[in-house]
Amino acid sequence: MGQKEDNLYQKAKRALKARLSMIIIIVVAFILEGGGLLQYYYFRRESSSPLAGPIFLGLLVLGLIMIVILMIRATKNMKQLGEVTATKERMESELAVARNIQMAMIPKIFPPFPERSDLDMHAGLVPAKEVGGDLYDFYIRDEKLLFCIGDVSGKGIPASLLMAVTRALFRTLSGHEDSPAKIVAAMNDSLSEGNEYNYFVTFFLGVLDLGSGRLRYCNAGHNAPVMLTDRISPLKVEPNLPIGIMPRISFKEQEFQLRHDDAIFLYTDGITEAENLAHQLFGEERMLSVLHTRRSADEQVKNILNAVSAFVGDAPQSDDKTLLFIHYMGDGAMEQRHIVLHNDVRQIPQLAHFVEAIADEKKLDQSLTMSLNLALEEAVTNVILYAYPEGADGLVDVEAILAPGKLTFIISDSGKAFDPTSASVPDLTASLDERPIGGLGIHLVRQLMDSVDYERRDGKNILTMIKNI
Amino acid sequence: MEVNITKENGVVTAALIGRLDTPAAVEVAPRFDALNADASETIILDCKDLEYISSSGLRLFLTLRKTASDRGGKVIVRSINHDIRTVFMMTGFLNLFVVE
Repeated sequence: MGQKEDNLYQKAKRALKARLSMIIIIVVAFILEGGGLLQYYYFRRESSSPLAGPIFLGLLVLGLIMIVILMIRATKNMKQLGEVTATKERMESELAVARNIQMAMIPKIFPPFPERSDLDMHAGLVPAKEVGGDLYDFYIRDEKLLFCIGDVSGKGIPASLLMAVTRALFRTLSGHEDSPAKIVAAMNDSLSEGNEYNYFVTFFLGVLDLGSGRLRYCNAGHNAPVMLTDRISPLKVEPNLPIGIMPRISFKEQEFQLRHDDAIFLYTDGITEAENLAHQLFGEERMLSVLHTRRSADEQVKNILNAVSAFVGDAPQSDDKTLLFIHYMGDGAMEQRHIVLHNDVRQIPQLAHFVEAIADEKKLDQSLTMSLNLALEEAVTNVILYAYPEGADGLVDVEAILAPGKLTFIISDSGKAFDPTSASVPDLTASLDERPIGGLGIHLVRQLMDSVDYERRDGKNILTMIKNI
Repeated sequence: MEVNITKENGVVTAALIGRLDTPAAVEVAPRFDALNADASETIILDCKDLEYISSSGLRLFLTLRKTASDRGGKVIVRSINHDIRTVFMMTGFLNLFVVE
């Protein structure tokens, strides 16, 4: 917004100066004129004095005319000053509205997902001027957290326009695509098109699978986020170009496995490059020293912002400051076990060994071990017997996720679509004659596990069973 | 999985030893066919050494129970361990069998 505002300011300053000098001139003129008039009346009695002559009177009249002209001009200047002030006020109020609109684009209700126990998040955005070019955004779809942080080159109104476009592109292009590199490449193509002013955006985009803790990310020229695991260190990032520079370039995608209680901290250089009056930078080292592995997201963000404010003191803020903290408290891939069986009931003892090995490792008691064995056997037998056509070879995949206090078993097969959870509950009070021989397997699974969910995905039957331990 | 069948004074006792899982149920199905043939008598299923049972095993039990009911016999389930008792409870089998 700089130049336009400067012009207005200069104009207003000039108008004010003109007004002051005008007032001084008018006052002086009034004094002189008054003195002249008094003298005229005083010397009129002695008609020989030149101060009583018609020339002197003429000069006085001329003086009066000049005063009137000066007054008219002063009024005009004052009107101009009023106009300038009004324009400035209008622009300021428009900027305030623009700021509200911009702030409304980013999520800022925290905690953002109070219903989720696996995620603790907080963020902050402090523009240097009314509006800024930094952004962050996030949302959850399909049990994945999609998040981003970005910094548009430049500041103020032009940057804020591009920030709005970037945020809209992120939302639109990430709606049906899980690959961060593909989303970033598509955003880059859109932004690069018609970018005549050569603005660009440093951008980081992550897709965190909340179930497994697997983080896929793509960094387009942004500062490397900080990982808080059992230690605090920057995330390894590829030096991709920022987005908006040129279309049709490819971006490298990377992965990181988050564990329960790990966190990721993203920020813009407004944090590390915050300057104090002595022109020293806040810097990465100070920032890292404020981060702590065991603190809530809310505290981490507040601590960083407070530390920056304390460091900067009275120095004016020169750049937008943005930070985003994601504390993952899901199961992550704590430990995983995996077994693939053929669709043959003779494979059941192998499944039992698989379950017992997990039970040994987790030091589960005999009853719990039997429950797990039984539930797994019933669910897998169901697949072995019914998923594939008779005589056809097929596979059953069993994955176990061992988290503290919770075991998850995911049984999948490529057989015909069948939802075992849709089976009706047997009538346990029926008389002997009315009791059918079968139909107990899935009933037992339901009884033994804490949750059983079926899903048909990518041509597969996926049965997820959870047992709290 | 073993099923040892003994007959004494018109009482048939089948000692079940080991794990009665799905493949075991397939394996011992002929032994249960033999028991079904004696279903007019009193049959004791001795589960002292039965470690485990899944729904395939429960099917064998239930089939035997139904046959016995048709032929006027009796099925007594003896000495089931705590975990198997839980399975019997979950499936309503405690109401269908005499469990000692």
